[in-house]
Amino acid sequence: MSPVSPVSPVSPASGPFRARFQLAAVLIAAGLLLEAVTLSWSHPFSFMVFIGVSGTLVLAGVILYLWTVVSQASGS
Amino acid sequence: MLNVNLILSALILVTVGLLGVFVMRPSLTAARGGKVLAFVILFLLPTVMLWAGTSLHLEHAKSTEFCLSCHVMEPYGKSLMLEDLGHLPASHYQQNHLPRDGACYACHTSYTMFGGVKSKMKGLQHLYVNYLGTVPEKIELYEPFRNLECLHCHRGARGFVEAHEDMKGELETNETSCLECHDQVHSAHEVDQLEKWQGAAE
Repeated sequence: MSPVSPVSPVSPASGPFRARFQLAAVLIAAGLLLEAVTLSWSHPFSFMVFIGVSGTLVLAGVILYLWTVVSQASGS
Repeated sequence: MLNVNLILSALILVTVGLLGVFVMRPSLTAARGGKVLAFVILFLLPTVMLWAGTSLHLEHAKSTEFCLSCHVMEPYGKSLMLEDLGHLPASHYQQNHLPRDGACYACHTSYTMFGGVKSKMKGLQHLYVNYLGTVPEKIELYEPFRNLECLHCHRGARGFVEAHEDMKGELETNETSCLECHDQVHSAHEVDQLEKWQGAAE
C-alpha cells in the first residue's frame, strides 16, 4: 500500500487554496478577538464596533472559508 | 456566579489559538479529521460565537448604564435622582418599582409580541443618529407613550385598582393617557435646576 501524501492536491494546504484558507482564518481570528474586546465594555460605541467591524470580519472570514471549500470540491 | 462574558471571551481565545495552528500548519486539513476540525473551527464556532456575542451585546443594551452613556441622555439620567417624587421616573427608580439596572428599558420597551424586536430596532436607530446622524435639539418619543407600558406592571395592583376604578376602561383603551394626570416626567430641560436626592449613591 502506498503511503498517503500528507498534502492532498485539493487540500487548502496546497496551491491557490492555501492563501485563501489562511486569510479566512486570520479574518475570523481578528473578528473574534475584537468581539472579546467589545464584550468587556458596555457602551454604544462598543456595540457599533462589534456590529460594524467584528461581525463583518468574522462573516467575511467564514464566507471566504466556505468559498474555498466549495472551490476545492468543484476543482476536484 | 460565572460571568458569561468571561466564558465567551475564554472560548474566543481558545478558538483563536486553534485558528493560529491552522494558519501555521494548513497541511493539517489534508486528512479527513483535519477537514472536519477546520469546519468546526472556521465555520461552526465563529458562527455560534457571533450569535452569542450579538445576544450579549443586546442584553447589555438594556442596561441603564448603556442608555445613559450617550452624552445626550445625561439629563434623563439626572432626572432619575430628582428629590420630588412627583416625577414619575424618579419615583419609579428611587423606590425600586423597576430594576435600577434596566430602568430605561423597563418603561420604554413595548410589551407586545414583537415589542422587544421593535425596541432593539429603535435602539439601533438611536445609535445611528447619535454617531452618524444629527441629534435633534429636543428629544421626543417616536409616538405618544402608551398606557400599555404602565399597565404591564400596574394592572391588577391594589393601589392602582383602588385609585383608578372609575376610569379603568379609558386607561385600558388608551382613551385617556396615564400622562394626562401623571404629567411630571423627565423634565430634562430644567433638571439641572431641580433638587436631587443624594441617598442612592451606588
